[in-house]
Amino acid sequence: MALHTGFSECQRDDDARISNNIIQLFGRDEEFVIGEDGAFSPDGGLARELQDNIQGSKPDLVLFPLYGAEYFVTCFPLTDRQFDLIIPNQPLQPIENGVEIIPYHAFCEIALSHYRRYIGLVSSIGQRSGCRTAYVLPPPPTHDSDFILKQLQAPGPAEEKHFKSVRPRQLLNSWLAYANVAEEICRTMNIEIVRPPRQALTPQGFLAREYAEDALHANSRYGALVFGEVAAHFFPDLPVAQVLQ
Amino acid sequence: MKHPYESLPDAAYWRRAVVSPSLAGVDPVAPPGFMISRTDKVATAGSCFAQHIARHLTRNGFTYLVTETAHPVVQHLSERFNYGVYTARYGNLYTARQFLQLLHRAYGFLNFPGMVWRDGERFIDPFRPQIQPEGFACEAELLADRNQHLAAVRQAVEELDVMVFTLGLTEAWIDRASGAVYPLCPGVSGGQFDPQRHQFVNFKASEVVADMLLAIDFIRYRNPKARFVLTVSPVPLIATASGKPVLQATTYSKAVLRVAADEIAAERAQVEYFPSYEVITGAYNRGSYFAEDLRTVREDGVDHVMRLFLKHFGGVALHEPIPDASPTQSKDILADAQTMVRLVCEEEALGRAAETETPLPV
Repeated sequence: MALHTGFSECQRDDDARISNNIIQLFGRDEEFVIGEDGAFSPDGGLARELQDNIQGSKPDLVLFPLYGAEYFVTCFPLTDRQFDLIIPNQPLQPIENGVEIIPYHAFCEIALSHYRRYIGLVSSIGQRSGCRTAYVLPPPPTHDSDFILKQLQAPGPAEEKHFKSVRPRQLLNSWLAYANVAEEICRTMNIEIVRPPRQALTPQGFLAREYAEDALHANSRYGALVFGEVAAHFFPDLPVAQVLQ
Repeated sequence: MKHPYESLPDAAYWRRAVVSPSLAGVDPVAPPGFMISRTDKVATAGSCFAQHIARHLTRNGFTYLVTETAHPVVQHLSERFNYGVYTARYGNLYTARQFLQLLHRAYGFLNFPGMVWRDGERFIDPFRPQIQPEGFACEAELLADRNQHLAAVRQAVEELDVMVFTLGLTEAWIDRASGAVYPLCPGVSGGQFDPQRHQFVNFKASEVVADMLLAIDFIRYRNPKARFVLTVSPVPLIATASGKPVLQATTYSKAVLRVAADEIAAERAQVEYFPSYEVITGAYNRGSYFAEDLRTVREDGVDHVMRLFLKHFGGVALHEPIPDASPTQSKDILADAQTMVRLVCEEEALGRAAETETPLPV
């Protein structure tokens, strides 16, 4: 039984950058890191290399984990105007003072423009290789208000002001919006989607501390949970141990 | 002196003021009672034509007041989501009643609970039916955005130095039970038309005057320094529900608004009428300021209007040559001109409905 985990491993230059070892991949904390944009065009070098490897190894399943919670912190313009989103079908919470609600559909348009490209590539590689393909949603952020500055090395005053204004709830709602967009795109492209395991989440939907490597990344326990979900969903007739081999 | 006409200026004589000057030289503006400085905060509202004012004021270094701006995260989508089209994101306020209603809603004197339209997964604000291209994602988002919007309206009322308001229409639809007035007939761009509930109105001059005077007084009570410039949109009705032919209905509507504008300006100090209507529709230009659809105002017409506006209210002499237009200009030029003057007009939805043969409620 072989699985391929997609882009994340392509970013490393070591010999193991294309690996079939799911345990190894989910045991690392790099699996939700995205690479430089230019590398992922459908005809880009990494994409071709990845496709060649997939075709060579003929895995039973190709999993693509893309976008992490750090995206929502680092990719927004520097601003001290706090914002939030109201996500459809989510429990309503009071709007905090000084927080602007920005249009959900406008935010989703941005998410769509980012996602379409990557998931389109996922779809394209899946179709070309003939392999079953699934997109693994990144883990949601943790409920930790101090983490952002810790992630940055020597932020400037504007960055510091900006990052201090980012709140966990805003991050979670941004993540939810991105997740909704990803689900919609995957649905239209016939790509299966793997959501974060429920047991790794707090009742509010944040990533539980015990599954966090740090404020922005999940740990290997989380990876094992995701793998369990993947195994149960995609290989229901096989015991997990067999899938791991 | 034999008679009073003897000493009148050229502006008082048709031949000297309208026939003799070049097209671009026609200037029907009376000396205004106040000027607008570059530091004055100018707010705009009204029908689509008011959008030109904002564009040209900004271009010429005046302070266009915008109290509801797009968050930087969605900044590049601001135009599609109607940020900055007007001072706040209220969309077109075609009637004086709509303007007054907005002010009352902003300060909590009017509230229409439950006034949300649902169209499948889209939630539409009946008071701004086209403010977002796909509507709102849920009712809670709509209500939160509405609260933010009304706060931005309050901020505008309290900060503006000059309000330029363009009177657009006399025809409107109201909710019989609550009295709420809509910018667009329910059912055209959201909501469902219900003849038992929705009533057509065609405001009289006296009603327009009363509504605008109340609106002006309402603003001045909160901002005594506020000055007003009234204009009448030269854009004809795209459709009428009055039962009259549209040309006749347009003439009625514009005549009412034009009369009302003069009466309002006469009733209150620091309220001026600016004749953009005359500049665009005056016989002197032989209709050349309208594009082929006889509704869209061409950019050279807008330039003429704004050159006069900036000259008389801003003391700005714009010397760019404005070529004399003639109706024989090529279709390409007309098409280019129309492209340049892209406005956000909810009323256009009526035209689209007609083109797709959707029967309009009458």
